[in-house]
Amino acid sequence: MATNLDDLFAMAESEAGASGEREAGGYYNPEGDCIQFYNVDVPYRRDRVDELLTLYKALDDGRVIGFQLKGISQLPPEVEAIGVDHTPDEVMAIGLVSAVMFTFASRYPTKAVHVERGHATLGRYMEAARVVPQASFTRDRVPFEHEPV
Amino acid sequence: MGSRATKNHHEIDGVFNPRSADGKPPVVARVVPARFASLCKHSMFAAHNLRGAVEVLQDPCSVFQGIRSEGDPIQDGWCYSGRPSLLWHADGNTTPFPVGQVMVVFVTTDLVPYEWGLESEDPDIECAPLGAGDGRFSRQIWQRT
Repeated sequence: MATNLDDLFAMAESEAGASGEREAGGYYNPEGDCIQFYNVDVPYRRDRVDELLTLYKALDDGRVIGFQLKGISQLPPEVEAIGVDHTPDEVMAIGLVSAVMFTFASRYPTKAVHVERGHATLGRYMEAARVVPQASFTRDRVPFEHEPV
Repeated sequence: MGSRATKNHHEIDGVFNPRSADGKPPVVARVVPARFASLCKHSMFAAHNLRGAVEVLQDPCSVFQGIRSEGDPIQDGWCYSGRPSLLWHADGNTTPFPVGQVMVVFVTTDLVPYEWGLESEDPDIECAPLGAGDGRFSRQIWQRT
């Protein structure tokens, strides 16, 4: 069944400069209530950690190149406030890393029955957090500045 | 059947109806152009593979309902899984879709696809993503025979 997506690509190109260089960064996706972050534009597969975090791993060597983090609207407002004394670029990085780690902390509270699994999963959340500072950021991609639906 | 674009959404016709047992009559899914533009800024690999995602939406080999766990605000929605004919690369070139992988497409209850990509195939359910046989979804609503 043929489907013409050319007009969608053309629309994206006019709005986002899709024909130019890709930028490391991410955006908030309100339909999925998630952040999608990409450090580099390479072929990847999704590697689900749990219902909140999915790592994006390069097809060629398995390195983590990005992630999807769900449940952003459930994060405490303190996460958004973190980093207010930093530069806009730093706010973006700190906000993303904080979102990842707050999500881990809420998903695997230390006194919960999930503690054993939580310890095993911490390393995978850290993988997501580590991929963030390697990229460049701009304020317009701060995930908490929700895009219009 | 095909697709149409407006400023607010891009319609994809002929999508498997997740609310019926046999997927019929087909329904319309709607991609949000603003979100697609955001994706294009960072991953043309993912953007190009919307073509494969559309194939999966129109002819899935398995469909699951309930894409979040208990306590999450979005309880419903669907995950379509399938094997598109091609894998698209960031430069627009194609290669055969890799063995052992499936294309998953996550769709809201309003039939808005918001995430798609490759995942490893589940060892227990043919043409389903890893974890599908281990309680990842609430229930399976379709399996192609």
